[in-house]
Amino acid sequence: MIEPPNLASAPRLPWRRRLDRLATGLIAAGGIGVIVAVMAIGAFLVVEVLPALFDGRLEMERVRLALTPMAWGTLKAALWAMLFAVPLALGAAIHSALFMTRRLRSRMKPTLEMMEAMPGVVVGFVAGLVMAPWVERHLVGVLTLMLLLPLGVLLAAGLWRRLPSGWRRRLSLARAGLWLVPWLLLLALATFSLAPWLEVLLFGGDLRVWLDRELGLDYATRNAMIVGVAMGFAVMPSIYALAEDALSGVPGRLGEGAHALGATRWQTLWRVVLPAASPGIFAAVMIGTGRAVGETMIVLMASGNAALMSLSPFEGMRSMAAGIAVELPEAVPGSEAYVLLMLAALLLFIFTFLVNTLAEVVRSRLRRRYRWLGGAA
Amino acid sequence: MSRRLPRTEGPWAWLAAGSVALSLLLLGGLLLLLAVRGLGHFWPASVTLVELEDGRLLAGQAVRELPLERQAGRERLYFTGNRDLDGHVWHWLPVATIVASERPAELVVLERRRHGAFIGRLVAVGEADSLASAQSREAAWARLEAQLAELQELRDERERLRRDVLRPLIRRLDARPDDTAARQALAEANARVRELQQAMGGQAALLESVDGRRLVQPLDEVLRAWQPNAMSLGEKVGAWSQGVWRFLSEGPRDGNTAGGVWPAIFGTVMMVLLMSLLVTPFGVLAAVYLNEVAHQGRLTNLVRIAVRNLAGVPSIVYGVFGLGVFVYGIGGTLDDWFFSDALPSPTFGTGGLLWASLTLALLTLPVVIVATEEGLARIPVQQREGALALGATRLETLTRVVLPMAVPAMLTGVILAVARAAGEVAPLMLVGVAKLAPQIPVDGEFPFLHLDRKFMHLGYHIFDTAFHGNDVQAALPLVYATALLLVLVILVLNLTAIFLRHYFRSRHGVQPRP
Repeated sequence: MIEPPNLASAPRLPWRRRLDRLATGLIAAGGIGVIVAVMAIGAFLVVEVLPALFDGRLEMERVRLALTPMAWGTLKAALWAMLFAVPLALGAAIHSALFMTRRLRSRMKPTLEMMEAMPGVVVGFVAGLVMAPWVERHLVGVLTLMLLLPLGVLLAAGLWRRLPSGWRRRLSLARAGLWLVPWLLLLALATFSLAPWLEVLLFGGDLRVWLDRELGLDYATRNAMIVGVAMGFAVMPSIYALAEDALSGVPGRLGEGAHALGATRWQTLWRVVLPAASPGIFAAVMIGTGRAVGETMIVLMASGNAALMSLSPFEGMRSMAAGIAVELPEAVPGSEAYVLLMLAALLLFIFTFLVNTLAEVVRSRLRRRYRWLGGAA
Repeated sequence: MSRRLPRTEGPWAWLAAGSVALSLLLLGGLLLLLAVRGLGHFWPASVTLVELEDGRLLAGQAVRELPLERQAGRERLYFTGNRDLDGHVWHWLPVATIVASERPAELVVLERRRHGAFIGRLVAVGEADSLASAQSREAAWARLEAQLAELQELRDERERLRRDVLRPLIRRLDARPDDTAARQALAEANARVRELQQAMGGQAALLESVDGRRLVQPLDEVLRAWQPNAMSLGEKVGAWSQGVWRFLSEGPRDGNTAGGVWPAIFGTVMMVLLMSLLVTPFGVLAAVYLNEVAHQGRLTNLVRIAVRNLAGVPSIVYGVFGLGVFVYGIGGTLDDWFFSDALPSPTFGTGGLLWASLTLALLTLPVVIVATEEGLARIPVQQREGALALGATRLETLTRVVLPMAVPAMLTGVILAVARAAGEVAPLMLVGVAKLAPQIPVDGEFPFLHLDRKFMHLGYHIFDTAFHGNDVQAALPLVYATALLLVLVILVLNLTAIFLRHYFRSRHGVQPRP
């Protein structure tokens, strides 16, 4: 980035110059080589797949038959994961960017980033072997809890307003992320102790039989709901981190202006901060989608891997990434199955690369806008 | 005058707070589950003697309790061991049918090489052919403990002989088959091993299950014995820590359902070490090129964005690349050129340590490049200008000023890369991980480090044991323990990276890219 001074006037030390030229050349060659090697991935997949597509080794009909269920499964898994992850991540980002104290925030961010480091195989194991059978036994409780959690939080808010002001200060909204944890735990315990009674009252004693009879829904132990929660857990931290960056990067003067005009923090957020940060939040969701589409181990371990085409949250699916992981080691190089899986990998690559590029472009535009807003205000 | 209402934030703000709480709850719940189940497995649980309505007697460790399907009441799962007597090790008992349960102190648990655990009573210990006479309980137990300690010494001695004497001799003979001195030494050592083997046999224990069936158990198959109901808390803590240590230091037994994970730890560490050796220089090189050498134009920016995006490409795609290029492409060619006498069984043309490390190095390159670049961009431009003004060339500026200042950033990048690589399983399934690798990739044979060998990996061990084992129920506690180990390793690595980054940022302050 800084050009060295012209050393031609110092003929005393030509070897230093030569060494410098040589090293610069080597660094450039090595750097370009490494970057080319990393980029070779896309080229390799294209080279493997394209000839087979054009010389007729692969019929379009076969491609359609083989890839449609897998593409469907991939999108379904990503959809359910995002349904769980996006509200959770955005809520957490909004809370920690705008309501938390600075000290608490500096603790909270690394903690939630720890979630991102959780290996997929561990999450998948817990989801597939521990959570899935448990949810199957406590289905009513789990579904009720999903409805009750938001209501319970609102109930807590209502109760909070009736508290004496000393308590209200101690249990302030800034710290609500912490003191709501035991409250939610209590709520969950209450729900699960009431669930059997509820099941008898509403569903004749067995929800799974009821689902089958009334709605024609089949319940598989490892299903889209489990995958959604597990993969949502895995992608939520990356969405959170990026959305939080976007929200807290909004120049402070904008919010201060709104506050000065008498807006509450939530009104400021909704009318001022959120619109300003919306491209960043969009980018965060895109990157999360990219991760959810490519996640292998969680889907492999928690989805049952049956190539079904349904939208039902209670049935399994087979995703492209899991299909590749299971089938590719057995496929003979050059065979039809091999090329099909290569095509699936190429599709994954192109999809994630495009999504990430879009997100990156949006983010860099946003950064420029923040600089402009911050400078001009 | 109207009473001033407290300014409230409305329901949405509270829901946002609730989502923070829910995330924390999920994370804490997951960690707690892993910690409790993973560490709890090594605790020497009490053994309960249960009497049923129909007069049957059972002894076992209560594992968990569930409500009965379509009936009132609950049922309890007992781990009863004794696979050789009963054919299975688990018993589900309806709680209502249990008449009495107690915890007699004389119940013993034996861990055996075959058939898994035995739970029951010890009748006598002695020579295998004269076991008839019943001994007092204390005498039998004391004798069993003494015999087991003696056997352990013999076993250690045999291991030492095999490792220090037999294997080097065999290698010497392989190199020079006419070495008579070595041949003789080998025969002597073999005789000594046979002697030890003989000394180990002969002793046996007469055991009795709680319902009165007897069996004679040769002691050389017994690994450990304990009386959980008679142990004090201190003894239990001791047994627990020994259990944890054995889990970390031993190899798996019984189709991965028992024993430890040492080969998996070793394989993971080897793979990650090789990977960081590969990824550090190349990642730093690319970052230095991008940030210090390349002309900062539109093209460089595009390349920068592309590299950043490659970090978001799914890991399985890297696995596909590794399989196609490294294993089938380069590995197949190497086999054709150098190992053609071993074909058709592949040497490098199949997954192995080298290809796995290379694939993961490629996978983590973007991480290192991005972190190093960030570090380089934070170094104040005045530092470079100062060095150049003093007459340093660009290379000297780089090696004396810029790179030393960027070391923490590089370290952060490498640690993050290691943390990512340690947790990745999907690409490894394609390029070289093994369910059970009998030989670890490092040994005393030339060339000592066998890059073509398959290896075991903690993450894959979790997947394989949990999904492809014969008795998942029995393997589950070990899977929990392995998962806990993996999570701990990765958390510690990530915390180190966070700490380093924080330290570095607070020391140099934030310098935006010019």
